[in-house]
Amino acid sequence: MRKTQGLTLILVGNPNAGKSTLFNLLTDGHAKVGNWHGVTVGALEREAKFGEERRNVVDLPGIYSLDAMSLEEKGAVKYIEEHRDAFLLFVSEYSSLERALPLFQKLSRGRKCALVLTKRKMFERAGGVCDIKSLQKSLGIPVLSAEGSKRSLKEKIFALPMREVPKMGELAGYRPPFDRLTRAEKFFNNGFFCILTFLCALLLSFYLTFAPGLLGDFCKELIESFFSETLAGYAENIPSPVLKSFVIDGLLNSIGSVLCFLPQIALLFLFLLLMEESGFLSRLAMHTDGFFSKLGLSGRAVFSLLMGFGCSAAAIMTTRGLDNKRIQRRVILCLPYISCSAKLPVFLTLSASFFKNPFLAVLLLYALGVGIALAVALFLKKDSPPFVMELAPLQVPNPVSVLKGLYFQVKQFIIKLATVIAAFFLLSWVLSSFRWNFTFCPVEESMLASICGGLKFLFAPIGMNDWKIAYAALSGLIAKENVAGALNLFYGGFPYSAASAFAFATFLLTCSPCVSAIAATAREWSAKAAILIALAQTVSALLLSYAVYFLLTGGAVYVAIALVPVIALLIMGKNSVEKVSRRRRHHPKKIHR
Amino acid sequence: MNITQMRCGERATVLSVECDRELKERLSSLNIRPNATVRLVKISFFRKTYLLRAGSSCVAIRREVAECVKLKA
Repeated sequence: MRKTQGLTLILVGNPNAGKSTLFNLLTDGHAKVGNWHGVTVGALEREAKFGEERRNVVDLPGIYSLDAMSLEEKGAVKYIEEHRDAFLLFVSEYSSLERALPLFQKLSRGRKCALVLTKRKMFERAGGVCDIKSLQKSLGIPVLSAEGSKRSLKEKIFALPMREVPKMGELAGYRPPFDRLTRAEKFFNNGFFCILTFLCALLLSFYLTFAPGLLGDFCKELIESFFSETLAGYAENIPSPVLKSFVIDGLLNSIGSVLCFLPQIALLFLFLLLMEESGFLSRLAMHTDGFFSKLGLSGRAVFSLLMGFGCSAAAIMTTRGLDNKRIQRRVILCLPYISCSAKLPVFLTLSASFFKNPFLAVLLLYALGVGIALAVALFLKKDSPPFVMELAPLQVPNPVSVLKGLYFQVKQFIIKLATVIAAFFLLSWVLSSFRWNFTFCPVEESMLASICGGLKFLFAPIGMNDWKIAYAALSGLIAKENVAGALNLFYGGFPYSAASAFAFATFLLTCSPCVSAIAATAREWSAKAAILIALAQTVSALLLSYAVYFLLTGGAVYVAIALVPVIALLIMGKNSVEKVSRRRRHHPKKIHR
Repeated sequence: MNITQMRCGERATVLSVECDRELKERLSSLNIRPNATVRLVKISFFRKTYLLRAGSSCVAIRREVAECVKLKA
């Protein structure tokens, strides 16, 4: 964070009050916003300019009280306490002002502060009434309504008088909204409809994204044919074999093979953004809390797990919103098994080798990942924290917010492709196309072959006694997109059997995430833990892939034969124990003789 | 009587909240405090989670927490 001179303005309020939206408005920033309690997970600082005036604006996670429950709230309270000379800009929804007032009153003692009220239309539609002038007079601090143009609101905030108040007063000129639910809220408060809607939306988004001929696949085919036919066609005319190989193999086949998945990745992010913006996620969290409690988690984990479909690193950051460190660490251990968008190119590359319609294959891999994540959570289960969560209001997703979020994700992907991934592919091409004396050569005689030749044993147990496969798999540690690009660089597809493809997919599904996610784990846990976890996951992923290949290539028969005597022993052993059951006060007691 | 003994749609006044300080503070900040009126909106599958309306807030709490919120008869 760049430290700036000038007055510091800290945005304080309950979760989902609109602090980050106000932060972006004041600073032209791009803090993540969403209709969910707990989107902001850390302090964000940026300079706001208005003419010659400068303010240092800080966006904090929402807090309900000074006795913070979650990790992010504790961080926010600590920040406020450490910056006693900063100006506090309280941000509250009109509807929640009554509830938020005690917190503001406690924080305002002996500090410079003002109040900004948000979401006026929603408040008035629900029957609420508020007279800003009366409120300002009774509270004793400046009060603004967050409406009007961006410029006028910025002007008002910059013009706020910076004076200390001895004590904030009580409410006046305020009538809360009526206690009534909208039709949509009544519908989604029903667990059956809520979960059914989620499953249908998920299947629909997967179908639109992956099914042949539909939107995602259609756009992917367009980009793919542009790179592999149009541009590659022009590149075929390059007279120099080295330059031709660089353009076709180093650039078009590798970078193009990752870029073509952008439409499908964008569609998945669109689904996630729509869920976030609509307020649906908090209802889903409520209805799945019972299920997650059996795994030692809470409904709050659904947000982090869903974010994992987009990006593991970002999902790990959201775990700060969980109740305590124990739960946070459990969710961090589960998240690598949720297939992030970066794994999508390689899953599609592998499944396209054997299926005309990769939709079911990809769905299976995603479902497998979720299953393994939940199994890990169950394995690690100890206690289950108390679950208390405020539900966000349901609303039609704001198109501007959704498009902004989508634009940000697409931009991040293209930047990553143009920098980290492109650098990796260019380096891979150089190392795989030249000998140590820099003469052009086949890949098996290249520098990369001599460096990585020893890795060929790594995937030999799954029928791929090839260093190039191992290199492709390990390149996923830098960025998962590299795996698909490396496969295309060396083979133009996937050259091994279906059993090897599935075992390889299992490895990629369960191995360590990329360095960004490892770095996020290091920040939230510790560097030592992050590295140990990454190593353990990679080793266990290798062993699991060996087991999967063994089962798929006839080993299942041997396992079934071996299990028969074991199952028989268990059944016979159970029957030989006499059980005497006695009921006392509804607690059955068993005595074995 | 506590929240788990309410029927959907029923309103009641909170008598006391019997839990640790941190949780009590959190419930209080969400309008679930002595003398506040709460309305039970929905109960999730297997009666695991309770959705309440407390003032302007819609709050979901797990059964174990709901059992801590005692109501006036």
